[in-house]
Amino acid sequence: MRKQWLSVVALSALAMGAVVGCGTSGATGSSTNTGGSTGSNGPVTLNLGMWSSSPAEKQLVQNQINLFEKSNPNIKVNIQVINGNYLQAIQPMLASHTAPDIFYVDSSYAPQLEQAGVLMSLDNYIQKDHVDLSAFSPSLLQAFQWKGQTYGLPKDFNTLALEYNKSLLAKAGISQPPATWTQFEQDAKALKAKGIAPLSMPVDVARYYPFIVDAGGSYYDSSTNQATFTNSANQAGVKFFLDNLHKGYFVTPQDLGATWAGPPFAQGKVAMALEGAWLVPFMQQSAPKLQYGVAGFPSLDGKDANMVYTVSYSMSKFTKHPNSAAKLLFFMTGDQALQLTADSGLAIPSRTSEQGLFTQKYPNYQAFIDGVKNAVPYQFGTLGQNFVDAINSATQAGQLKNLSPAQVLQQAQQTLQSQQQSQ
Amino acid sequence: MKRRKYPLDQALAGYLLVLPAMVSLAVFLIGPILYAFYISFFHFSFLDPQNATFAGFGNYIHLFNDPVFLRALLNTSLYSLCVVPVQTALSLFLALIVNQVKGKTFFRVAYYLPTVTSTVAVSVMFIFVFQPSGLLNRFLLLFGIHGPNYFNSPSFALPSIMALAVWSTVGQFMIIYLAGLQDIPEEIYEAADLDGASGWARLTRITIPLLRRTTFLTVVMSLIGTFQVFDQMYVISGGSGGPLNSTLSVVLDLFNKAFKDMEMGYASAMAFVLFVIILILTLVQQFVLGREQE
Repeated sequence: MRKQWLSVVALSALAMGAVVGCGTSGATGSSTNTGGSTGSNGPVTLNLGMWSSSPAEKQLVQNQINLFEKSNPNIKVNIQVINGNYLQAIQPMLASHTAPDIFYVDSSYAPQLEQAGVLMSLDNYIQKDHVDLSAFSPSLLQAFQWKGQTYGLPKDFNTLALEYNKSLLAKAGISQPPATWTQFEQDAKALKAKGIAPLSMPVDVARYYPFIVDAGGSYYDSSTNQATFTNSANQAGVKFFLDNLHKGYFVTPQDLGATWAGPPFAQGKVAMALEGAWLVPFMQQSAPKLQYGVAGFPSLDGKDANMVYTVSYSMSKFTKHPNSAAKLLFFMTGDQALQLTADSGLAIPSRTSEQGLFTQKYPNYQAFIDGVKNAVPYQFGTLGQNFVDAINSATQAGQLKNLSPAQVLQQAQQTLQSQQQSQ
Repeated sequence: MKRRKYPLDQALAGYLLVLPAMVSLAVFLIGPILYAFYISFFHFSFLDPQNATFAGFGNYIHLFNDPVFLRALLNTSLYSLCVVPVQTALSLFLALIVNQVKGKTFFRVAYYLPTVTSTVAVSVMFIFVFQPSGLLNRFLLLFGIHGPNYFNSPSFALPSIMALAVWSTVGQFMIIYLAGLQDIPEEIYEAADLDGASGWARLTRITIPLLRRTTFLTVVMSLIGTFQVFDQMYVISGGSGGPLNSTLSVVLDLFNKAFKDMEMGYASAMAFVLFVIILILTLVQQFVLGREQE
């Protein structure tokens, strides 16, 4: 009997130990974060959240941090690389207040995070540290401003340009890449006659939206945060896009056996592509010998709209060291850090002063930098993915089911409305 | 008195021994399930959990007015309706053959291999097969047929994924059927032979009826699996469920709603509707296939 009870007691002690053990280990884990929470006097450890498109990108950030730690010996910075589905990973971290102190935020979902109040407004810190915002390209800065407050500073950006395969154009007797879309249609006709697919682009609002803007339309009204698909000014742009698809002047990457325009362009299956500067390292890797040029995004009726994709460093609202985090954030988007970015050629720096440096070293990228002047950020308020899904599947219906532009826009509006009722 | 106390002690010790497992199950499985059920009645976003507003049955009612969800439900049902019978019949067929052929082990391994391969890898391989100028279309071209662009056509995308699913899971169910076949006593066949039963009669009168429990198991498992299909759709459509939502499954829609649109409450409601559907279907099958009370 006594033995029985002894074993029971021993077991329960063990079980308790296991449970308590879990608890304490968790607590010590988080206490490293709270340690030295008072101001910037004591040594502070900050986390920086990022995704890494290549090992080179992580190396670049590490170099920038080394520079920062040298001038701020009291602050230690850990890099937390989140690969795969970044937004999916960052949401629970924000919910449980364990997000990195500063982290990458893509412009496409920045408004949703800003609206939800999980990002720290930087206005006070910008004033305190005398950060000169005019050094940034205005359309980039704008992408991280919400209701008059700044919630992040852009670190780099990308725009669209026309990449062309020199030998394929020459085969069709074309010496210059098209500068306007009218010219493009003539060139496309010549290419098609030779059996060459003229231009590959996906049925994606992220690529064709410049046509809408060129033709005087707009899908989104930022003053009301509403979608404006059914605005009749949008029809011309959609018509232009669908007509080119139907004529076979635009060919989707899916029809060429790929998910984006890079692979078919690299394989020489298509003469032109409309992609961002991410195409350049891809080409170096997969088709280093292919001769291609980069020209500006062609203009439509004399308009030069473009689309800009930008990423910021933003601060978590739940950071324990906002002052040190602000210091790091301003450093990472400052001249010194962006000089390293420009030098690496991985991304186009967000500050105009470093952009010159960048083009000196990488003259190929000039068209991408010029594109930012008339660019709209790829972001549609807090409508986010619902908006993109609604318009993309409607446009795809326009392509595959021959809907008219008016029907496409009507369908997009209806789908979006049906999705929003749940909110 | 002493005797009665004894089993109680033992039971207590038993419970204590399973306590760590029970606690971790409660914390990491049952707890989240109950919490998901709770937030399915709220307009809930991960980003500001404090500001969740009570929605009552709003999320559930909206589900049945949401054309995207209804489309996903239709796709998933179609997928399940096609994949489950084909998969079951094919795996039974393979099991019967493999059971008799020489070099059993080789075929068992060969058919089972796709099951242990990651579904993502399998999907990527099928993208290669179904490309516009991929393996299948090259093969069809030998006969002068110009095949379509399978994954970019609203009418071919879902059937292509069905083919992929059947191919990759048929081996798993074949193994289960093989185990079921080993369980059938040899005497029954001998008795049938004495009575002069033909091969076909042996199959339809003995083998298939006696495999009933195995069939029940495979159908339930494959039905649950098909209703929860996610990875193939995610990889092949690049997460969008396109073209024209033709490859949008319920779980893919749920994932997009939860993590891209940040509507966790709505997504939770979706998960519970899916749960109820699977539960009802399983009960129906239990009623149809598993009625025998031995």
